[in-house]
Amino acid sequence: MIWIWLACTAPQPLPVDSAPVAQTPPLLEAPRLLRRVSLDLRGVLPPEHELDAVEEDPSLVLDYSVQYMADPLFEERLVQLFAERWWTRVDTFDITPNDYGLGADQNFEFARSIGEEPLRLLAYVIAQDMPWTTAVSADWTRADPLLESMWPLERDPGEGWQTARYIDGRPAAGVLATNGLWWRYTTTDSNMNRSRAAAISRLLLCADYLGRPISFSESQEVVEVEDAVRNDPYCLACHATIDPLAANLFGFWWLTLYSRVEEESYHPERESLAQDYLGVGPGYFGQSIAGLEELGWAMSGDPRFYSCAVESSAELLWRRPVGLEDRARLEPVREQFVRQGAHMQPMFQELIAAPEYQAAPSEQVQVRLLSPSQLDSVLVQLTDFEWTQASYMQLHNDKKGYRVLAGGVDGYAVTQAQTRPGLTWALVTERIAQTAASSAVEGGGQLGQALESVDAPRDWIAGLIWQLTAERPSQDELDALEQAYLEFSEAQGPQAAQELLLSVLLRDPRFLSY
Amino acid sequence: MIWLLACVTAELDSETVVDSASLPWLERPNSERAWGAEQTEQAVQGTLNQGFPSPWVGLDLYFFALQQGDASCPGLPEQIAPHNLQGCAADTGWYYSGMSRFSREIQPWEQEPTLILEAEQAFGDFSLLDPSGQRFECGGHQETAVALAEGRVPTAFVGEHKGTYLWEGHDGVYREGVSGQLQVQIDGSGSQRRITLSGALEYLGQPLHSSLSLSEACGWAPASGSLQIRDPSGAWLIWTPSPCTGCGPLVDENGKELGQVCLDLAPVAGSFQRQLDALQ
Repeated sequence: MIWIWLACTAPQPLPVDSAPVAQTPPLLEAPRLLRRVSLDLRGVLPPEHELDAVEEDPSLVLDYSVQYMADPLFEERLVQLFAERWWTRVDTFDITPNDYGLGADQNFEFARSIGEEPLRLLAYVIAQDMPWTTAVSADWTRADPLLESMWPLERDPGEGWQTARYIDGRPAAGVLATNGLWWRYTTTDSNMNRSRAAAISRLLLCADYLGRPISFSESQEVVEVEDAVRNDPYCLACHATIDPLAANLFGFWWLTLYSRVEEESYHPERESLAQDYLGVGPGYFGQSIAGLEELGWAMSGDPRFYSCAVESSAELLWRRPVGLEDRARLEPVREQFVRQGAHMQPMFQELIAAPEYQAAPSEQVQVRLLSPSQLDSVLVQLTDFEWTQASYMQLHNDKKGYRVLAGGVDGYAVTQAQTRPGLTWALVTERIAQTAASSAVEGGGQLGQALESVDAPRDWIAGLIWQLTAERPSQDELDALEQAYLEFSEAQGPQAAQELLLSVLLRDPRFLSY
Repeated sequence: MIWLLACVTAELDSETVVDSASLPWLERPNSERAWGAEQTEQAVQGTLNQGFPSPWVGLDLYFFALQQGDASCPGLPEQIAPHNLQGCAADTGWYYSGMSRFSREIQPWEQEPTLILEAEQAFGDFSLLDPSGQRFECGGHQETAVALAEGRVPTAFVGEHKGTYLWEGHDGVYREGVSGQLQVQIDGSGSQRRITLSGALEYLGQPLHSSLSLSEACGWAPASGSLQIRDPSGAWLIWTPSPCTGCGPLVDENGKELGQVCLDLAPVAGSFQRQLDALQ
């Protein structure tokens, strides 16, 4: 009895607000932190005057982060971030450009537009500071002219991505009613939308069915699979909830695969087939609902929907998995997120203000590598160099390009960004640094424009390092680089020396990490 | 031990339970149904009066389309040749792209092994254009079969529409597309013929799900089963007619009765007249 008393009276977990947070690691200097914030929120480097300003007054970093979220680049950057988690920006779908009479030169645009539809919807919700619940309840999507030409959509006028509405009778369910999501997450006759339900659970509730332990050892011998998933307790551990969730998705149930006419439209009549196929009607974790039209509503009443938004955002911004040890930090963020009506931007601010975000690389804290999309957008900013081949953006695909080789996520075979430099990463970054440097000396981008006034190489080199790395070079480094520059300039001319120096600095670890 | 459990549970609850009332719940959608009984009756009867999709008609349309080409395009008399997957233009002005497969099978009928089932199936994933630009599109299959007794006497017809079928040049229900998975069985003889419709179908913009069995003895009113009807709000309404009356209550998905609905299903039977005639 005494041990029971001791157990109950032993020190209880502290209230969340005062719970001990893991020992705070060393933090980044303010300029380097601003660079990180700018790369995470906009995909580009901050201008030098902002680096100067935060060097003077570090408290300005968070002010700038607010400004960055109002930048149009923020929405674009969110698309890249969500692509790492939602895995929809794949290179191939069941349906091909030829099914729409498109030429091979549109292969990349075709895959990219489809894969980005759900990501653009999510990014727009956040960039417009709408409640996160809009992501699962909106009666609109985002579409570009190509999607409008292919699918039953009415798109608002304007260039590029605009708000659009499906006109095929699909319910308002935000991202859950987008073709792009279900073209990526397909299903089969025997799967019956279950993998799609699992995707919903993983992406929006952070509840991964595939992570559950499964034991068949004590289960009865399975004779008929569909009978087992309805009656065998071992199967029911998952199927009791996943099957009703899958039943919400039968409007996207294609009766033949690889068929354009089947896959491009919602099929309202098939909502009723869920009962025929699965033996259950639409539901949400024990609650009977009317179907897809109520799925977003049901999710909005699920605490996991909000905690998942916080945890997944933390993972994207902190560039690492979050675990129980992060709970003390994240719980107040979640509470605030819910209290403020589930707006993502303030929550992003809190995550950025956390020491977990601001930690400098150390033995405990992994260095952050520029993702292929960040590298791409930074080099466009700096040098105007856009790495394309036959209309393929080379750092955004793997069919002809180098996305995975450069550390990225392809959504099928590679679902987590590379966290350590590797051989292919080194090769890709070397080649792109050389080519981007070449573009700059021809006058491209911010670096190219700055070359017009290089009359004091030492100052130029010092400014360049500041601009590229947000770190002030040491005198030794400056001496060495200046000497190399002058020697090479004498031998090959100043332009070649500039190209060499740029090429070296664009593959400097301080530049390629953040 | 119970004390210990209570102690542990209390700990967990203090950290994990979230007051769901504090969550920013969305307003529950779909509180208003678009249709009541009268509107449902008018809308559905209006659709039924224009006929009903028939796998036998679907198969006829398939052959009609394939016969509009020339010797090399679509390339085969009963199928689009595989080498025309990427598209071909016939001298006639028709354009074919995609693939299709047609097959015939003869085997004992599972339902009644003493009968022989002669089946025809057209599978396809294709898109055609006629010279005026009208689309013929298919993703899925049309399957028809006749069950023959000794002496090749038809005793039953079965058919299935599965997928999406559209022929903009059709003067019937296929002009706006037919989508879904519906099995049709026509059997019986004399005045005891029956048509059983099982599955989901959308045509002329009306999504339906049927388990109705229509009986000639009842003047083609349903003898059993029900019809689910999706209204424009997305709500599913369920009509369960009393046997042989053509009338019955309409209820919503919560079981709330919306009123009596009467439907004349004779136009549905009319869409299968050819098969019914063969069962005389």
